[in-house]
Amino acid sequence: MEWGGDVSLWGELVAGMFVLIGAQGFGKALSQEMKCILYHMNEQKQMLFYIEREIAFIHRPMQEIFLSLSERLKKPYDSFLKRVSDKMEDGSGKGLSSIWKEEIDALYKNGGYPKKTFYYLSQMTRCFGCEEGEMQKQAFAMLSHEIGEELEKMRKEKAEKDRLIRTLSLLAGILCIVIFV
Amino acid sequence: MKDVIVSFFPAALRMPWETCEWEWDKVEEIRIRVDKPVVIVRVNREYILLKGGVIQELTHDTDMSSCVIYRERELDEMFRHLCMDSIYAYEEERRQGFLTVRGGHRVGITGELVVSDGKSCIAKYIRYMNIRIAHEIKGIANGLMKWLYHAENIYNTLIVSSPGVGKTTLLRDIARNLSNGTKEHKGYAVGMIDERGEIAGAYRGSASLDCGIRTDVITGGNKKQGTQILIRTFAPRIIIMDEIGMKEDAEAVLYAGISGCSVIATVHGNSFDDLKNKTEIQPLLQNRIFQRILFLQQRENGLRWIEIWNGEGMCLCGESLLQECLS
Repeated sequence: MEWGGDVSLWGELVAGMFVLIGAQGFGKALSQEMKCILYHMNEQKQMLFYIEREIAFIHRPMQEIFLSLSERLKKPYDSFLKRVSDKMEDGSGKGLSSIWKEEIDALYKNGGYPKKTFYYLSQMTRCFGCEEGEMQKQAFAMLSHEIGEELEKMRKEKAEKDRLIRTLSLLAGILCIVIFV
Repeated sequence: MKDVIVSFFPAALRMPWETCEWEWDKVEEIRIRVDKPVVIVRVNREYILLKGGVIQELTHDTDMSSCVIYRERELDEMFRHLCMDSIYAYEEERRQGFLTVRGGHRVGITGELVVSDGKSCIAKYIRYMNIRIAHEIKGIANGLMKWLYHAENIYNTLIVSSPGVGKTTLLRDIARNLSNGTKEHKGYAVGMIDERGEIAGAYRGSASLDCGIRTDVITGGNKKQGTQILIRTFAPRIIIMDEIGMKEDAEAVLYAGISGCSVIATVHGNSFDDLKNKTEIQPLLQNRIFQRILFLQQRENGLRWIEIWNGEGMCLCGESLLQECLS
């Protein structure tokens, strides 16, 4: 079959390159989402670690812990915790769990983050309200451990997926070139 | 004051308090008992709150059918709210049976007690609460300050009265005067040991009521620890402490005296004879540690009267009206 000599060969090569780049781009997008989830989980784990230590050291109440953490954590948790702390302080009489849920909803609506990002953040409401310091600390420690395990799993998964996508896109590109040449 | 009172309650329980129009400024206590009407104490009278936000005086024949009553769950919810959803952070206060909230108001809590962790008792079920509203009335001690000075020294002074008469309010005003100074006397460094945060209205360690510009306040801990810290590091001329009730408190007073500080303290009681019968006060009286004893009394009309005695049990100044009515 004639494809128009040199010009068609170049065209096929370009098409093959497009497939390659497209597949890489798809892989990259997928990886970005995972990277975003990993970032959030990391921040949440750090948040739990700080909360745990603040409770263990001077039994600081939640509102004060949130205020102090809002200056240490990165976006969007800095402003998230500041808002929770302010609402607890303003004397509206709302409980921490309902304030927490309200703020997660606001973060989800306004932030454009993947839904999975906030799974563990919403799970934190399970930990609030323990009557004894050690119990309260352990409740956060257990959730932190859970996030740690999930993080480890996701990191491995991400590395595998990255490798797989790179290989597949390369193969797809080569296949295109081979078929059309 | 209404906003302060409303803030003691979680959102779900606020309705009758928010809608009620009343003179809240003079409220002294709000007594909450499980399954019983909420009682508000104001200038020696008791009132109940009705569901529609109406206040009614409590008498033996008051109709209780429409009054505000809190159940077990609502009391649990209220306790959680007062602890700002951090019950674990208030374990020590719970053991001692009170919480101090913003503004220095004290909430007494009790119910079924259990021994926890082999330590002291802790309220397992909180079924009774008494919210005591802290009042700041400046100037009530002005008239009696001259009795406390001896040249440039301050007499060790004990303020004696029954609960709820205004010992702490008077103590705070004395502390403020000593700290700021008066026309005749310069101000002194004052160390205040405020275990329950009631004198200074301490919230998160900061005094929210005016205790004077030269006053350092220690909140929490006990009087002995507080006295040691103050003497070692803050060099106070006068130490202020509320409610001497235990042997250790009396030891703290002695320690402060040995260290060269004057002590102004309060104790529950009615008369000199009553004081002599208190085992924890006896050594202090026998050793003439206190050179001035102020007996504070309240009459039915709410007015407060004061009598000033010396340490030997001699009345120096008969009943006189405090500069202002504390209520």
